[in-house]
Amino acid sequence: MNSILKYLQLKLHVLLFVFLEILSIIIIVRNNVYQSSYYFNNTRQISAHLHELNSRIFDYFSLYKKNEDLVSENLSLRKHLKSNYVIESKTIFEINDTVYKQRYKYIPAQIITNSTNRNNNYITLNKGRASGIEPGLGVFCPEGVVGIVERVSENYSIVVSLLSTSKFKLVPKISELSYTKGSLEWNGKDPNYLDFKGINKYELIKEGHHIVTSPYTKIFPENIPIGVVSSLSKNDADPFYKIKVKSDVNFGEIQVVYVVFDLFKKEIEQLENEIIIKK
Amino acid sequence: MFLNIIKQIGIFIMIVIIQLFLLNNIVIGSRFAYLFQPQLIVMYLLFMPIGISQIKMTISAFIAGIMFDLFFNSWGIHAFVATFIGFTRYYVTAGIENTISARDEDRQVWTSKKSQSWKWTYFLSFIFIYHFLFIMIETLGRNFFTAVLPSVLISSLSVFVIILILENLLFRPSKN
Repeated sequence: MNSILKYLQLKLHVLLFVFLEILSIIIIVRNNVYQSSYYFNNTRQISAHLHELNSRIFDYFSLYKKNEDLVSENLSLRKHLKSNYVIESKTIFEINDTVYKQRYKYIPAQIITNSTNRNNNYITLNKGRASGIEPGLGVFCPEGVVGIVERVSENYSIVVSLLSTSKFKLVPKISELSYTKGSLEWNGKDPNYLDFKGINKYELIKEGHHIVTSPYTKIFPENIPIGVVSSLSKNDADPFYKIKVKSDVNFGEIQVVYVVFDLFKKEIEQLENEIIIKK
Repeated sequence: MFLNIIKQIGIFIMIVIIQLFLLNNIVIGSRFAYLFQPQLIVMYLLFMPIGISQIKMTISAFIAGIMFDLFFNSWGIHAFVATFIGFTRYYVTAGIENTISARDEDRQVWTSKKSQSWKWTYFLSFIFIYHFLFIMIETLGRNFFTAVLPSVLISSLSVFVIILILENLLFRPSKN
């Protein structure tokens, strides 16, 4: 300690010199605009460089933690993927609106068995009476019309597919001409094509016209797609077109369907029955 | 000792007056005004007595520089350069004290004791260093070859001439 003090005493003039120089530098920087701006610009540049270097070095040390964070984030995102979810068996979604009164409610269901190779094809759904399904309800999938519910058990129901030669006939609407006419049948051969019968030769139907459900059925909502007119042919002896409709639904591939429940069906039927009774 | 301090203060006041009323009023045209920036404070630093210690010399140089800053609004620059000159001058003049007479009155005119060439190099080098540092800090090296260096040279030369004149006026040559 003593020797340090002695040494400092020996070098006192140097210390004093350095102290006075630093003092005058401080005075310069604090009082002169040009010098201070020069000083601050340069020191900031240097400090910015140092900070950059620092962060570049220490980024490497945190790579492991960053990786872990990314993995956990990936995991949590993956949990939200749509493929992780199946439709819950007893949910019904409804639309509540004050201006529009809801007419249809939809019951989502999954297909258990399906066939396309028979004359009358049936589809089995994983929902039944417990979910509110009744015989006679329409069934469709996002691509288009699938069929009509025929039999219902407690937890399952059987749907008559559109691909049925004798049990299913539908009166559709031609979307482009917007009128309802004819009847749609399946001839039992190709599951991709339906026969559209009862259209007169003077109608303006053309190839490419879309066939959708009509507003007059109590089974389906309006404008659910059925198919596209793929070929037209005339026969002199027959007053009607011979029309082939390409089905929008690939019946071999449907997985999820919606069962349509018409909330006004009973009311309408009651009114109709009253008229019949009066007659 | 006390008389010495009074003398030094008197020299300093004279230098400030000359700088303030004479040198700062000389303008060589507005275009080349930057060339002529003599700082006469160097004279005070160079004529400081040689007998005093380095610490005293550094402190008095710093105070003189601060005073000059106060007068000429160059906050801290004169102080910085003057401290530097006061500190380094000791190493040049330290030998003189031992060789040249220890009599008090001789110390006032110690520059004339030395040979003419030593005196000139002593004056010129420190004047040049002072002006170089002063103008460099003031401009921070902007336009070094076109503005800084010419003005350093011209100011140093003019101060050298002024110092030679004033030295002959202030200090009578010794008679031995």
